[in-house]
Amino acid sequence: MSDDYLWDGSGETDPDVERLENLLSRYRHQPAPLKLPVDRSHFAWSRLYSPQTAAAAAIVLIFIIAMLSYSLLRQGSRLAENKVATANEAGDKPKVEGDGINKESPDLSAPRSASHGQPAMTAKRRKPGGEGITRPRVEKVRRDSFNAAKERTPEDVSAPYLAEVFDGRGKERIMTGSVDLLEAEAARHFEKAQVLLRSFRNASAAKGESTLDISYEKEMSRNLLSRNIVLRRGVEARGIYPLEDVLSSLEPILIDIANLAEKPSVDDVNSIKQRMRRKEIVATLQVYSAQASLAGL
Amino acid sequence: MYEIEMTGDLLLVVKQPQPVLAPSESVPSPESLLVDAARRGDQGAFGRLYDLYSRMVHGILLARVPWHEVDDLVQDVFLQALRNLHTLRNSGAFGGWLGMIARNRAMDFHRRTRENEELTDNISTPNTSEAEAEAAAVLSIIKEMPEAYRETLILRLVEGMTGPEIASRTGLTAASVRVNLHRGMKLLREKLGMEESI
Repeated sequence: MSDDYLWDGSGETDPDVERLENLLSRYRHQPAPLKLPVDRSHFAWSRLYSPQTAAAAAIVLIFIIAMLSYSLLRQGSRLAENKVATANEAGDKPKVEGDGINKESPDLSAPRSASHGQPAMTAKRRKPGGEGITRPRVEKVRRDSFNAAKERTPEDVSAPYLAEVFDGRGKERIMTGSVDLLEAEAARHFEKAQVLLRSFRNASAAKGESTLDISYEKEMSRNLLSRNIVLRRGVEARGIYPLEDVLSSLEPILIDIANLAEKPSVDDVNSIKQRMRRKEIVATLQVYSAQASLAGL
Repeated sequence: MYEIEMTGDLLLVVKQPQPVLAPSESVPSPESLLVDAARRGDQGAFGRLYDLYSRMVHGILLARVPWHEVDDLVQDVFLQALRNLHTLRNSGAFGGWLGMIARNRAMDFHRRTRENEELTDNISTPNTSEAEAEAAAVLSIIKEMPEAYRETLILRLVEGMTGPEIASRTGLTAASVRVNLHRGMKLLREKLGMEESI
């Protein structure tokens, strides 16, 4: 008999094969749906994994890291700016910028008042009793800062505050320690200021000329002005009011000298000299310096 | 090209004639296209492959493991194939590759269950009918035959696949399948005490 039936079921039926087929059909595979696992991540990964996708992922990762770094750097610089701005606003005092000249204070290049030959705002500050709007505000801020200073301990006031001011402006770190250091620095500052003011007081026009050459005094006044501002804020934060009064008296004089024209008229110079004489600023500085030297500062 | 095939106890090395491919013959088979689609994540294509090859896998497993374990192992084999599909280089060799996974899974099954107890198909229950007992006995005899015979016979007699179908699914040549069927049936007749029809 041919085995065609065994081979492909064609031809004459083989009874033995047919009987075995019927007998064993009970073991035949019953088609059932394939139960695929819920997690088929192997499909996704096998499709995703390739050198191109790896390179693209690396580029994206680098981009994200760069963006994060840039964002953090910007955030850091903004924070530093905010700290300094807050420190400046807290005293409501002229803002020290660059060469130390006040950028937010009254326009120093503005026309001078006819009576005193100085910027209008400075004249307002100088008036006793404060007719202008500046003086009461300054007094209020001083009182607030004094009260705040009373609540602070010496450790948490001077060093961090001054460090912020000086670090934020890139200035030298001259005062990060105690009151003694602050006062010693002020004493040195007053000595320099005395030199400047004496030099300015002695300046006189050549015969037959109506202008003076005070470029040296102007430059020196600019340098002292920036230091004066920082010192004043420092002593204000510490509540050293006698020292702060001296610095506050000195500051308008320095501003006026720093903002004089290159070759100012004799009248302009004389008006400043009169104010110096009226305020007895040189004598005040001299007294303070003497006290400081006696105290061993 | 040489192809190694196992027929009965003999290992045949058959030289395959180099086919002169007509342009139409270079077209990939539908199974290859399904494999490629499944490799790209087409689960429908993999389901179609399951429909095509599940009987083969069932037969290969039935030739090696107890019947009541086969269905679960079929699922395991296809899941393993799904996970490792990306390792298959030649889509046309899917059937042989899947058969090898099934054989390995059967070996693994025996390796794990040997520690517990030996399972056989000869477990008879009081409610077993005479036909069922006879079927279990025949299956047991087939399982004792050489590997190449028992696989081919089970695919033919149990799964109802034809010789050409067995050849195409398992990747064996039609000649080999025909030889195995003929010799296996002859051996089975002897064991069952059947007289071969003339």
